[in-house]
Amino acid sequence: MIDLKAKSLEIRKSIIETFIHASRGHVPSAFSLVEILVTLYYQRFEIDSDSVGNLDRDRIILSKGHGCLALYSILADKGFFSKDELLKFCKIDGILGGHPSRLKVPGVDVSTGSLGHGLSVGIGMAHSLRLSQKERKVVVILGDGECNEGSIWEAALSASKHKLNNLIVLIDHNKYQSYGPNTEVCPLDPFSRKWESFGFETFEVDMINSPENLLPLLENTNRPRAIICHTIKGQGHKLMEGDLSWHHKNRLSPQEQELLREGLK
Amino acid sequence: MRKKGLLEIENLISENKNVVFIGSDLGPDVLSDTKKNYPDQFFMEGISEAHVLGMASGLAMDGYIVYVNTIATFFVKRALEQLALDICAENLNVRLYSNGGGLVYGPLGHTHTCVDDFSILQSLPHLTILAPADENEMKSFIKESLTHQGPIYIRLAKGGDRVVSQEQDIRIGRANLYGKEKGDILFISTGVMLQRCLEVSESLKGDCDSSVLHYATMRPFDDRSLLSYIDNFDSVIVVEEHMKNGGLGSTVSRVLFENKKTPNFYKHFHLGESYPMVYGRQEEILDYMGVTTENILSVCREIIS
Repeated sequence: MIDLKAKSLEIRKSIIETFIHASRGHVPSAFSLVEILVTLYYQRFEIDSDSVGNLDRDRIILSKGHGCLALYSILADKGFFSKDELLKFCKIDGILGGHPSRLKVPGVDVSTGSLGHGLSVGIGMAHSLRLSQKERKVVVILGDGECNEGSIWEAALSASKHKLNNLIVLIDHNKYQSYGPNTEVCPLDPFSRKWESFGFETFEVDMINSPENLLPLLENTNRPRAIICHTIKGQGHKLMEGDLSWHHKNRLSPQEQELLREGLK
Repeated sequence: MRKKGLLEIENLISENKNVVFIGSDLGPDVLSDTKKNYPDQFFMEGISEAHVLGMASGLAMDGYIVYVNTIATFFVKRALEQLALDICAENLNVRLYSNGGGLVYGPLGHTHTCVDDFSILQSLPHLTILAPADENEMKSFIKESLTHQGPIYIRLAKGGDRVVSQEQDIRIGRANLYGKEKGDILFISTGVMLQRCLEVSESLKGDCDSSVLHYATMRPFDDRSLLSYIDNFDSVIVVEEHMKNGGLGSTVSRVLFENKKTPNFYKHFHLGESYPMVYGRQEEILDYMGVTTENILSVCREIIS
């Protein structure tokens, strides 16, 4: 099995280079996702470019679409498109935008960007897989700030009603949203109990110190599952961890570029 | 109209495994046979329009043809972003079977009426917008919707609407002419305003020649039919159960201006620029807002004199 730590570092390097080249992007939101996505794409699911267009496949929906830099680096690494595309991130002649589009990017299952959409779409796909009796899973990755959206909880009610045992919700709980900590902007606690009370089988994983604990949880029993992944915004980078000024950048000085390359843990 | 449409949807479900229905807490009798006989293809979700449209999108991305049914104004405004991004931008085969278009829910007030749907929806990519006048048109449209590519919004009238359409010619994207191809006055209608325009046209018989060009499809707009008849009439009167801006009148004006057509007389009957803040039956509010048969007739008499 691929080494989670080594692959995560490789993906973070790719994100930094893409970011430096484009001078824009939501890097800390991508960094908190890396171990989650590496576990999904390299350890749990067999997702390769041959699966594009095939309905008999597992689905991974990045509902917090602004974390797409991590997804793009993984899809490029897995050969869904040329790595040269990463150098055209947010460029007029590229396919990789600031939020992912399934109409443009091979390997993107659902177009996202506006928060609060991905879970309902994933529920539709979970129904589709159930109707066609395909033993596949739908994984929806939410941001913690995204859980401010009412539509998430509409969807949670529905998933529970239908006992969608092929649906896994992963929450990248990096504790911060654009303005500040979740606890100040819109407190989520008791977060785990909220999901539990909506009918989800709920787990929490420390993705900072024990990311390997996620993999065994990516199975379902008889109801939808929610896994709260404790992460750090900017995880894996000395500068970005805990520094909100990096949430979204659209200009980088040469000095900042050096700091970015040197700061990877 | 509503029952006929649902009946046709039931037929589609019984004949096609890839047709599914999603309701959002509708009345208990909706598609009860389908629920019983085809339970896999029937979903009744809660009062959660945004979620319902997202779920429809996920099913449609996997190849299902999804008929979603709730109140028109909740599709149009409550779930607008899901409609725009998850369905229209993705050009998916979702059909919005939209109860209570226009002033049907007039007694319930402006939270439930939907007089701004054309205006809001015309800017959404790929969306076909239908406003049938009666159950004939509805039946034809639902049949055609099975193979139509892309999303469709269907504005429903209240049901029991007088059947006036001619069944054989009804197709998505085509306007239908009622009356002769030449005359003094051309009425242009959409939805159940066809009935009102035909009444006026009938009343004018003997005084002048008038015809009705009916747009049961608001989008894509059949420019060609309008342009093929416009030179044959002196006057144009547009009648719609919609606000002033962004509906049939706006579209007709656009077609006429782009093609340098200026009728000798032009009048647009509409519901103004604010929501009608009154309660009453559909016909009562139409009358209150001045879209009355008498008012239209009176304008016609001025033209004739």
